[in-house]
Parts: sequence; structure tokens; C-alpha cells
Amino acid sequence: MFNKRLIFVTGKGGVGKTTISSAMAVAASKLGKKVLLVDVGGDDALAAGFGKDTIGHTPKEIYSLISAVRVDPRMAVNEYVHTFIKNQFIANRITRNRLLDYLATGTPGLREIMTLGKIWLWEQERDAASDAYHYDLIIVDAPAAGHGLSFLQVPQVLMDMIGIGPIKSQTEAVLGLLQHRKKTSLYLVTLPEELPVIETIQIYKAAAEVLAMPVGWVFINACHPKAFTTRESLEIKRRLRALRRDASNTGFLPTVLLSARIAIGRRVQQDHYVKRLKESIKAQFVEIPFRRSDVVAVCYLEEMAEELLRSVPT
Amino acid sequence: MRRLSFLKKKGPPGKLLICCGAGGVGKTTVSAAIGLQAALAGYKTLVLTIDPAKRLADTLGMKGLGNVEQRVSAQRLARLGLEPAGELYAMMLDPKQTFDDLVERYSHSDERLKTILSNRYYQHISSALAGTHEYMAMEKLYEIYQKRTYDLIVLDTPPNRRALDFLDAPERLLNLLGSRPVRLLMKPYFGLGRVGFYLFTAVTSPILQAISRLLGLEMLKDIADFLRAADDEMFEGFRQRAAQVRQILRDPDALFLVVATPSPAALSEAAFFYHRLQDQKFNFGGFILNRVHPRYMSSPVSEGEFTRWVEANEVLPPRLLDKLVTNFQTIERIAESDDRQIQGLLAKTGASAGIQRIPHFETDIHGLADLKKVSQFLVEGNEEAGR
Repeated sequence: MFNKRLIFVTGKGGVGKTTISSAMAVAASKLGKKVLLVDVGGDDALAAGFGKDTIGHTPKEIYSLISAVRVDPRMAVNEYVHTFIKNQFIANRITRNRLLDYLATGTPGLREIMTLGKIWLWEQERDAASDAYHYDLIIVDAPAAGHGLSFLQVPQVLMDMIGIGPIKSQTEAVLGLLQHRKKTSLYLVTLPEELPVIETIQIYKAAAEVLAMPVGWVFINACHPKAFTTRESLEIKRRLRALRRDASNTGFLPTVLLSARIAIGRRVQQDHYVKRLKESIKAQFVEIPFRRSDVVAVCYLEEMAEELLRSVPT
Repeated sequence: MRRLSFLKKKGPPGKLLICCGAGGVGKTTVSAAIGLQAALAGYKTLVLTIDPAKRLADTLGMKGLGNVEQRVSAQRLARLGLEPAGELYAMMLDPKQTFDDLVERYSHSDERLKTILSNRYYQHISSALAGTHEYMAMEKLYEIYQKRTYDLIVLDTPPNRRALDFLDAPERLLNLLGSRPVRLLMKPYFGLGRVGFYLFTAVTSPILQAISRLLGLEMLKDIADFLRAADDEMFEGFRQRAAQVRQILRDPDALFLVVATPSPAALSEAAFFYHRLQDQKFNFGGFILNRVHPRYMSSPVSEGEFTRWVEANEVLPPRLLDKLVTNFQTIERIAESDDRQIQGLLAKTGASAGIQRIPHFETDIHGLADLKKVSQFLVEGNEEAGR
């Protein structure tokens, strides 16, 4: 799971992308890897899990061996303008003006390619003394699917649109990295529920057909254990029916049977969707147990990381 | 929830309900359930949604046709023993089409309309730009509201914080479309052809020249073409329209509901929505907490009773009893956590409009019968007054 250099994590909104990205980073750090965790979603969701208020716009260590950074696409575009327009007076006028916003908005993919360009630079970064890569692993908490997919599609779209120039060469470099099968992989996060599963299958297809990016791992988040055997389930259902006929009963029997029904129903549904995922997607799967916690905290990430290290090949 | 009591019995028409919340909390389901409840109570109701799950769409009889209202047939409802005193309609919003309609409304000639609709810059803005969908949802809501065809309209907004940005300042989107500085900068080139355009960028404006080096000339040309076709008058039309939409949303008849599930992420998003609604002086109608685990035991007394019951049990085989007890305790713990988090939300917001809880159901909600089950919890059951 951790033998790549660059991992993009995406999935439908609300499935736990940020938590899984963070837990992966913690797991990789336990293996001694230097990790860069990149937030491109814009809502600063990574910070809370590591007990921080916010993540900055330059990489900074937030946990032993883990640095985190939040890419602000606007800043990335500004930097880019200043790199390529040598005349600083004009560069300033462009970036300070509403004009740049307008143009960046109107140029499909400009912000995305600048964001990917920054990730590309981090991937290239080497330590001066040893000449080794500065980061062993970069994990990108990508925008929610739909957006996440179009985010990754951008280099190709831009290649078609732009003839020559600095953006073209930047785009080529980024595309080369995205499609580098040894270095780069796309990991998907989903829940065993209808909408997330449908969307995950869509992303998988698009990733293969459009992006030419292989999907490495699929995280099925919030899985419930199997609480009852099939025989026990039948017995519980039978007893519930009996209760309906004879309501004179009896202490907590209805309560425990009803809460068993919740668990059974949920598990049937879960099995159905896990099966559907595995039939439709060729990748490796890992089921992450359901856990209700009141807050996201570092200890929670550490537990998840340990479970990951126990259950998947590293 | 007091403010939703009008869903029990038909009252005066003209109400708007706008459901906001994070992704994945069941907003579309809740919106549909509200719609069903309202129709049962006698309102002629429209549920306006953006991206329903396929089976829910099928349930509501939406056949994938964008931007057309479709009635949920009375026979279908009757088969389930539902005999609404009102009528239920549903519609799947097509944001791009809505934008095209808006452009059409304010274009003065067919030629201009054609130029704009085929312009690459416009196509990008109207389909892919973040915020467009939210804004178009409001636009459609306004358009339908104005016709006064329905007693009640329920809008299921996209799961995005921007939904509120554009509620507050629709002009922000308009600025992206045609802010004055950009317009002024581009104006000298409006009359020129491709070659002329290139010469002028090269000769007269170092800024445009620099930009054309960065982005390529085609891009600038697209933008110039768009701005030439979409003239000041069109933008003025957009602006007036945006002001009217905004006004409607602040009307006392427009109520905003915030939907969440009891998970930390969804609740912090709910608190965010609540504060934004308050800041912007929209009418907050209450929280709807979806998929809450029911709590059976609320006091230590009953816990003692529970232990005694377990010990005295002779009905169940011991192994099954064991498992049932473990499972019950697991679910009870989740329920306690749900409860704590919901109390936390109330403490954070002091929300006086209240909370309506919809319990967790064992399976996906997508049939009409399922919607009926959900809708019951909107008007009765464990009602919580604000504190």
C-alpha cells in the first residue's frame, strides 16, 4: 500500500477521505517514511485530526516524519505568473488586478494544473547533502469525486487546448508523473452504501478509461462486524414476528431484538454493496471498521494506522 | 419542531423550504420526505432536487428529464395506501439548462444568444464553475415561486458551502462573468478580428501580451467574444434578477433547514451552516438530524432492570442472549454518542428553532413506503423544543 511515491485519495463527499489519508500518512511514518500530506480541498479538513487549528501554505511538520501543506490554487497561480513573467511590474499588475481571478476562472483547469504543478515540484525535491528524495511518499487528499476526477483530468484537457508555451511544458511534466505507474496511484474511499458505491464504480471506470491511472486500493470505510450468524438472524426474525402477535411480552426482549434487527439489516446491506464493489472494480480492498467517535483525534488516527499496518501488505 | 408544524395541516400557501447540509447526510431523502408529508397534508408541493440517487428518482417518477416538473402519480401513492389531500411533484434541476434559459431571457437577438451558448468560456462557466449549480438552483426556485403554481416548494441544495456564498451575494458570480475592469480592458478589441486582435495585444497592451503568452491567444479571444456578445444590458438583467432572488430568500415564508447526521464532520458542517444563516439573516427553520440511533435506556434505573432481566432470562438460548446483549450494548453506545453530539450542536448554536430527529433505519431509503416512514418523524415523535 505504501510502495508508491504519490498517492491521490478521492471518493464521494462525506465518506472519510481526509481521515483515511491522514491514517495512511501515520502508518507510512511508522514504517520510517518521510511523508508529505497535501490538502487541495480548500476547507482545511486535515488540521483537526492532528490537533491543529490550521494547515499552512508551505510544508510544515505536524507529526513525527509527517509534513502537511494546504495548496491555495490562487496563490499557486500567482506564483506561476511571477515565475514566467520576468517584468515584475507587469506580473504585479496582473496578479493584483481582478483580471487574474477572472482569467484563472475562465481558463478551465488553470488552477488545477498549478496545484498539480506544485505537487510535482515537491515530488522532485531532493536533499542537498544526500541527493535523496526529500519526501518518500506524498499523499494528496484530493477534492471530492466528481471534482476530484475533473481535477486529475485537467492535464489531458489542457494538453489538447494549449499549443505551446510554459503551461504546455508544465502540463507535460505533470501528466508524465500522473501516469507513471510505478510512482503514482489512485486510491478510492467509499462506504458500503448505495450512492458512495455507485459513485466509486464510476470513478474507477473513468480513472481507467480517461485518466489512464490505475486504482491501487479501495478503502471500504465504516464496516460493521457480522454480529449474528444466518441461523441466529432467522431465529431473531421469528421471535420478532412472535412478539408482534403477542404484545404482552416482557421486559427488554423487544428492545434487544429490535437492536439486533438494526445490526442484521445493516450487515445484509453492507454485504450487498461490498460484493457489488468487488465485482465491478479490479483493485485491492481493505475494510475499515466502523467507529463512532465524538471527535477526530490523533490517537484515533494512530489506532487506524496500526490496524492498517496489521491488515494490508505495506 | 414548532416551525415545521405547518406540515401537519394545510395552512396558507407560498412557503419555501430550503434544505442545506454536508454531502452524504441524506438531504435529498429528507427533502423528498418533507415533500411527501406536505402533499399528504394537502399542499400542492414541488420537490426540486439536483442529483438524486437513481432509485429515489425512480420512486419520485423522475425519468431523467432535466428541468421539467413531473407529478408523482396518485395511483402510485394509492397503491401504498397513501391518499394525499394535495399533490406531489418532483423535478431534477439541470443547472446548465437553467443558465442557458437565463441567458436567453436577457439576450436581445438570436444571433447573440447563439454566440454566447457556443462560446467556450461561457460553456465552462455555466457547467463546471464551482458555485454555478448553487446559484442556478436559486434561480430556478425563484422562477417557479413567481408563478405561484405550488403551495410549497422544497429545495434540495447542493452539498457545498458555496450554496450560501451565492445566496448572500449572487453578484459575485456575475462579477466573474463580466466584471467592469476586465470589460474595460477588453473593450478596444471587441471590434477586431483574429489577426487584428493579435496585433493589438502585441502592440498596445503589455498586460494582455503577457497574458496571451501564459494562456494562449485562443483563451483571450474566447473571453473577448463572450464579453462582446453578453453586453451591459444583459448583465444589468442578471443583476436585477439576482436582487429579486435574494429578496425572496429573505422573505418570512422562506425557511432554511439544516440537515446533518450525528457524526463529528457533519455536525461541525451543520454548525457552520447555522452560523452563516444567522449572519446573513436568513430564517433558520431548525436542524434535521438524520440516521440517529434510537436510545432505549436513558436512566441508570432501567440499566439495573436490564441486568436483572438478562439474569432472569429463560426464554432465549444463552449463546444467543449473549450476542443479543453485546449487540444491544454496542448500538446503545453509538446511540449515546449520537445523543452527546447532538447536545453538543445545541450547546454550540443555542438553536432555538429546535431539532427534529429521524431514526436510523436498517436499510437504504428509496421507496415511497420508506419515505412515508421518514416523513412521520418530521411532524411528530420525539420533538425537542429549543433551549
